[in-house]
Amino acid sequence: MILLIDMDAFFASVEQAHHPRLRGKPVIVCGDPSRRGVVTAASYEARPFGVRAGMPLAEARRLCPQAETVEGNPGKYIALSVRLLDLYLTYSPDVEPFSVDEAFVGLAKGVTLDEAEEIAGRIQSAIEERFSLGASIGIGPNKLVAKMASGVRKPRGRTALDEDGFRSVFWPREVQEMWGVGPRLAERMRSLGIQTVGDLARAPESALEAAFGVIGPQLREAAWGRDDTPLVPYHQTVAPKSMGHEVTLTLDSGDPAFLEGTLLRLSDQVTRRLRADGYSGRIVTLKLRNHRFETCTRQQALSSHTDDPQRVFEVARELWRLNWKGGPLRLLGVSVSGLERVATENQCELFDGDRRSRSLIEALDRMRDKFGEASVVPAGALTHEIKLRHVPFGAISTHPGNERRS
Amino acid sequence: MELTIEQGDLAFAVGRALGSVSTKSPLPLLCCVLLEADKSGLRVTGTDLDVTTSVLVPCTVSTPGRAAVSARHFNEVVRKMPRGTLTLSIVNRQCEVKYGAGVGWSRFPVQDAAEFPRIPELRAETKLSLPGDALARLIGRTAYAASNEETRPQLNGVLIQGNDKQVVFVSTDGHRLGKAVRKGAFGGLSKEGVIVPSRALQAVSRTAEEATSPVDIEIAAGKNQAGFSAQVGEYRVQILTRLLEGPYPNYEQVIPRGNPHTLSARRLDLLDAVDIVASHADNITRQVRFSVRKNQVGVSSATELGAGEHAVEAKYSGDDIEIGYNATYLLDILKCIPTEEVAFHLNTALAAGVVEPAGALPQADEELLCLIMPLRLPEASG
Repeated sequence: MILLIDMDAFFASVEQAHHPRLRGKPVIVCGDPSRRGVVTAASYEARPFGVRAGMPLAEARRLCPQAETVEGNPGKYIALSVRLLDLYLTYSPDVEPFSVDEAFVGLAKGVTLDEAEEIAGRIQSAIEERFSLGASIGIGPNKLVAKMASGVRKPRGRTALDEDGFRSVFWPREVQEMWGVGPRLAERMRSLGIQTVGDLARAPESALEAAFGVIGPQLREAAWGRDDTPLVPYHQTVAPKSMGHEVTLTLDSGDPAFLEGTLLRLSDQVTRRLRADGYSGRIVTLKLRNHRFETCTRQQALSSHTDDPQRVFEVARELWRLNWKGGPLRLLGVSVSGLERVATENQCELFDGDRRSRSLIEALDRMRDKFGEASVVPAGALTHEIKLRHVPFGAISTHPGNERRS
Repeated sequence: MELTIEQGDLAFAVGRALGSVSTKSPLPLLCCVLLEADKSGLRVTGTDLDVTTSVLVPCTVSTPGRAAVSARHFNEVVRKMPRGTLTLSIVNRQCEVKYGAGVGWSRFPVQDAAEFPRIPELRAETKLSLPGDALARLIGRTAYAASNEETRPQLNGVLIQGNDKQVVFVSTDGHRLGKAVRKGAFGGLSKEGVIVPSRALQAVSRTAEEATSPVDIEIAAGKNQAGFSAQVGEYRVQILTRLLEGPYPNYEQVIPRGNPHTLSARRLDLLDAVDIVASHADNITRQVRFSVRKNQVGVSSATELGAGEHAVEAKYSGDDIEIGYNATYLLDILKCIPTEEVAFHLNTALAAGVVEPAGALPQADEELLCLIMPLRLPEASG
């Protein structure tokens, strides 16, 4: 049996859990509340007004003017997501994160549907108790059924379906409700007379293959509630190929000091993640997008693998200096690829200065592990605060009293 | 421009100048070599603005002149031309080379030579000279340890210092260090010294090996440029390079004096042991383990690739010690030491080890010392 645990309105609920004044109110989580951007998450209280993730913020505000808008804090959500995975691991060793707010949990062979539902209930209570968050859980014989079942009852719902149960629930529903069938595929299916999941299940395999290629018959199997995709526990997942951070600036900026500060912050975040996951990389990629949405990506290979923020920053800055034509930029991104799992810090240093900078990096990592990403940041990245009197993206938590007036 | 020249002479000059030409440059002229003919002969110059190689070869010039041609293309064709006399001339903005007494010709489009980057005249403040073979050895014993990290440009080369008694070449990447000394009066060089980029030294080393004259070294007044020139048979080769900006770290401070334990072993035995065991080492850390015991050192490595161990007879009477090293660093060091035996002066598993030739070097007026920092082994402490 497999469970799919889907956190209800994850980002918004996290904010409500952390800020009691937001509880019971419509909450919109977005990139930056002051100006443009899109809704990254809407609390259940905001949804009756028609507010949906992905909607432009301005539209959401029109639909629900009383909603509280909160700037998203990805670091917080990721950290919480990891703690949730740890919780799931106490129920089963087979945990596969599917997104920041969803995870598959594989239960031992021989566990019945009823027993699985009972375990799901215990997990829901544990999540509620420890994190004050709600989760909806789908339970099924495979990943497909579990995933689709998780959407049946929300929020704080629990739906257990075997293959028969799956058919009775989903066959009458529109084909677009199938996992993996998007609007365009659904449109093409409708043109073949396939309206519902049941139609798809009963469609001749040859016709599906002719129309959709190899995925045709696969979708038909899925419509029967059959799926043999293995669950990949996350300690066995494929190694990442690259790690990166990018940011859409609050205001387009052509200010070199501000842009440089942003690159420093991005380089710092990327290498922090490299170190946290035990990787070193040797290709630095810089992404720039200007106000006309022209995107430029440039990369440079380093002479050796690194997880050092200063090295990544200096290469990113060099690429930026060579490729930035001076106009206002909308987006900056720094990523590191060519990753290898390695512990470079094993190499002893000849010079005291190098030893100290490595110790400093390690000490800062320990501080951030303990007090959060915002506890300490490179001073050069504070240009944001000076320029905007506001720090985007939750890089640093600023208390209103601390804002520098300059 | 019009001249006659031997194919071998032209091929040599173009091949060497090509060594300093950018592989890719936004300026098409930086992918060219400059040909300059006057009464002294034909001078072929290639530059990437950091390092410039210029070769003067004999020829018979009937009309002096200058032209710039695509370096790679020109080199490729000239190299393949038959030995014997070539005539080179500029006809209709083309550089024409005729070979084999009328058998064949090739034409190359020329770029405007006036646009070719002006190579700044070197106004020498300091001049010294070293025998070519000695210079090649000094470079070979140090350049391997230079860093190629983009963020520490001052370590991307070799420091050359001098005084009345000796000249010292040093390089380090912060994990290892090579120091080579040659006795003699080199008072013109200061203690502060100059840092010559590794890239330039590659070209210098090649010329030094073939030099039939001592290599003259000139250092500009602002300590921002240096020139190395030597005679290679009939050819005059000059390499000009931008110098790296210091300050160079205080390396003397990190060379330990009086490490308590000494391990000596046959150099080639150790080299073979490290080489074979390193095949199992991690691709990035390249970690191998030295298990130093009484009169023996075991070299081992174990990763998911596989594992191996290799025992080498040694002279050692100190405490048993386990040290991790980067195999690539060890191999570099063991290859640059010329003596039959090497001595490792060791302290703890985390402290710098000094590696030196055991016994005299073939050249009595030279010295050599290497440093290597260990890799922290999982269970090591202290």
